[in-house]
Amino acid sequence: MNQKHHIEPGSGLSVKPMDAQLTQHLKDALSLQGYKIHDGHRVVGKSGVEHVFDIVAEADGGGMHAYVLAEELDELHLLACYLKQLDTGLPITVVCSSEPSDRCRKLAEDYSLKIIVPGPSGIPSPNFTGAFSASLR
Amino acid sequence: MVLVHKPVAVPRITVAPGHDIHGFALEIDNTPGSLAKVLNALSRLNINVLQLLASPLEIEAPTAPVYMVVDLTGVTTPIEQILSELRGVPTVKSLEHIPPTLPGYLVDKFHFPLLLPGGLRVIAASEVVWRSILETGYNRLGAPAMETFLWYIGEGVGRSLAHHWARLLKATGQSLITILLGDGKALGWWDGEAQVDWPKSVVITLRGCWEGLYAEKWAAGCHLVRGIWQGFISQTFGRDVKLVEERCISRRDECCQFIYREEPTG
Repeated sequence: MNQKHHIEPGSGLSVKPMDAQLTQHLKDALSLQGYKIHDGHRVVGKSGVEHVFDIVAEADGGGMHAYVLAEELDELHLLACYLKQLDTGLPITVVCSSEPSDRCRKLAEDYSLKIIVPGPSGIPSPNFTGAFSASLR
Repeated sequence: MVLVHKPVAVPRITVAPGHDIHGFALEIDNTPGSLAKVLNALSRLNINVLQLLASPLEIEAPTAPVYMVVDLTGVTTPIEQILSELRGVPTVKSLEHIPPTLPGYLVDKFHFPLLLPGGLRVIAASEVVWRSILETGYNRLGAPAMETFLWYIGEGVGRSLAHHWARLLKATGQSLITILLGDGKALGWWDGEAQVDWPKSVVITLRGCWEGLYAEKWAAGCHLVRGIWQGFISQTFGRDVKLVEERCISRRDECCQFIYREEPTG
């Protein structure tokens, strides 16, 4: 039996829901690249704790990549993502609507987390699409 | 015989509003009847002993440190005379008077650091600290991340404890599990029992587990304690096991219960 009883969607952090248009763009981009999309995917980690991810992309060969969507990032959010990554073994990319601080960028690097930012207007820029594709490699 | 459990007031900090409490720190002979002579002297002065701690670091040490808290409310004998009478007891080698820090508030300034057998230092913390650790973690990190964090820490702690006790007491297997149950009870973590049928199953049942009590707000379960037991059992039996908490007082069960069952092969 897994530790399922207490889980709420998301990490419990105060992250505002990301713009629906951008979320859809992510899913479309992943689908175009041949990934199967899982919304609100639940994964039981080594600890027995169940984690919920906003989007999980599953490749044909079964490889999986998790996406956490955030309007803003802080150190605690990154720590929570790191713990999810450590426990589940799924590589995580954080898609953040606003530009994270240098401190967050450095912390993400230390934690082997990827951060991608759509662009200043919130509309995915060409750079974002490139970074997004790179996150899957 | 059924042992009746009693909560214990740890004689580190004494709070007795309206009472004239004082501490005495003594070194006395580590011989039979030595402590009785000190207590007899206090009895003759009609002084009530509220708390008493006599615990030599080594069993065969020639002297033992004793700390006691006495209530001098209504006692007419001056403190100097009380001290003089105690110093006159033949088994008393030294005596220091510890006056209350504030009226009715006394701290044991005599003992530091706190030690367990084997020289292990104990860093005790009140419920305020443990509640706050859980509350801050759950609120700031979110439940899944906090639970994961607690489990990873616990798993490492459990392995370290198994290693320590196995080395100190040359214990193995079920004896080690009995030791961890006792360790947890002595330090106020839980009151527990175990059913061990290795390698088929291990069932750990804990009552009054602090993590379950303080995690009730989130009905979160005991992830630190589950990690500790999982790491401890894995280290003890030399095989990685998975422990599931099937009952938890944080979810209004009467106890916390952690179960390992051998997975069927083939």
